[in-house]
Formats: sequence, structure tokens, C-alpha cells
Amino acid sequence: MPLVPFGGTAMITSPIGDLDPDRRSPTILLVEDETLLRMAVADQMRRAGFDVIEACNAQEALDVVYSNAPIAVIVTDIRLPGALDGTAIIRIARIARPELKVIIASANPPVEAGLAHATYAKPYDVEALVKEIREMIRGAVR
Amino acid sequence: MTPIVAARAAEATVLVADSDVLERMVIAAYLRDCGYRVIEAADSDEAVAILKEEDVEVYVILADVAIGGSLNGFKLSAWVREHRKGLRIILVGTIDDSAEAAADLCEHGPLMAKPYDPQLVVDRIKRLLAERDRRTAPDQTEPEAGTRVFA
Repeated sequence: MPLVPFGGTAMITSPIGDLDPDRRSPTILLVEDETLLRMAVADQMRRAGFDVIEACNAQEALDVVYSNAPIAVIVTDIRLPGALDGTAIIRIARIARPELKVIIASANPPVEAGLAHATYAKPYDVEALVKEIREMIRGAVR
Repeated sequence: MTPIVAARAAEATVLVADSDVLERMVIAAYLRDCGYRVIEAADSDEAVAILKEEDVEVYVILADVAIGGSLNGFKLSAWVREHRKGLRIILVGTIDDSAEAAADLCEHGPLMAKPYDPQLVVDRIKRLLAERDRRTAPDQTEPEAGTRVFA
């Protein structure tokens, strides 16, 4: 286990973008600024067998995207605090990590076609979201 | 990790409060691998929002001294002492002088210097949980079997 450095990049040694459905815990990057909602959704995703990395804004999300963390899917809100919103995360992630699947989970999801692989309007059913993620991961390795 | 330790850890929730997502995700993942339930806060405002929730049980807080938000790590410690008495807090930071100040503000909270070994964090959490168990045990003469490993 690496040391946690100060103010630097965490050292994650796992492979990038592991989409194998047989892997024990595919990793989801959950981007949500509502603390308690993020906590509840992340809990439910973990109970469903996923690893979850939590980000509270676009900058945190992009830090994770640019690290070599083994993310399979990004689930992001659109309205986020800070200079960048969820659509910016998606556009940047598409360039930096084109293998990633993206799901929008927002109160007012954008209507732009093709922006994400799936869209959920708040309040959404987390079980349905989890099922969709499983299907996405299976489909990605077929 | 022995089964007793793993079972005991699963009962304990740790709030990791750190504004650096990459540091937070590493230590949070490590603690989860050790069997703890981990709640993440990206700044002190999130930490306070979580701690105000009565149905969210937190046993130990691991907080960065330089955490973002309305309160820094020191002030978060003071808030915890005022509003969540008995809740243990571990501050992590880099500046020696700040460490001294944090130790004063956080009467029970030891301070760890960054970079830290995650296993040392786990050891520290175990000690704090053991202290809490000793304080709350109805019979002080003989600790329960499940808690003895932390003594």
C-alpha cells in the first residue's frame, strides 16, 4: 500500500478502465455535490458490489479522471459548484478517457443527444441505475 | 486481519474529511478494505452536514488540518468537541507548528504527519475505538472478547 502523499498525486497501481464484468468490483466515479445524497447513493452502489470514488465537484472529478484510477463508469450530476459543470466533465472525460461510460443523474438533465450513454432525472431509482451500470459494463466487454 | 478484528471494524464508521480527492479516495479505500464503513466529506461544511444527521453514526473522524470549507481542521475539531462530545478525531497535517496547535484544540485527537502510512491510521482508529469501548463498557473489570484485540 503506498503512502498517501501531501498535496500530490495519489499512487494507484490498478489498471486503467477495467471493464471485465467478472472483476469483483468495477469502479464508479460518482460526482454529486449534495453531500447526503452522494453518501446514500454511494452506499447503495457499494452494497451492490461496486467500488465507488466520490467527487463533490468537476475539479475533483477531473483529478480522478486524469489519475490512473480504474474507473469503468462516471455517474455525474450536471449542476455542480465551481467553474465547470457536469457537461464539462463529460466532454473532457471523452477526450481523456474515451473508454469510460457516462451516465447523467440530474434534476434537469440536458437534452443534448449523445452526451451520455444514459440519463436519469432526479429523484431516480438507484437500483435501476445500478442495473443499468451492470448492463453497460457487460456490454462494454462483449 | 483476524475475523474478530474484521467483524469489529465493520461496526465502526469512519468519516474521512479531506479536500484532496486523490488522497481521500486512497485512504477511504484502504479503510474499507480493512472492514470499516467510510463516509467521505470533501470539505468541513460537508463534514458538519453529515455530523448533524442524527441517524448517521460516526465513531472516528479522520480530518485534514488544511481541509477546505468554512472551518479548517482545527476549527472542525472545536466544533466536534462542542456538538459531538465523545467523538474522536484524528487530524492529519504537515506543519509542525500547526500540529502543536491542533493537539491543543483536539484534546483527545492525536495528530499524524503527512505523508502517513494508512496502516498507522488504522492502528490509531483501533486504539480510539478501544478507548471508547473502555469508557462505555458497563463492567470495567473484564473487556468483552471482541474488544480485547484492541487493548
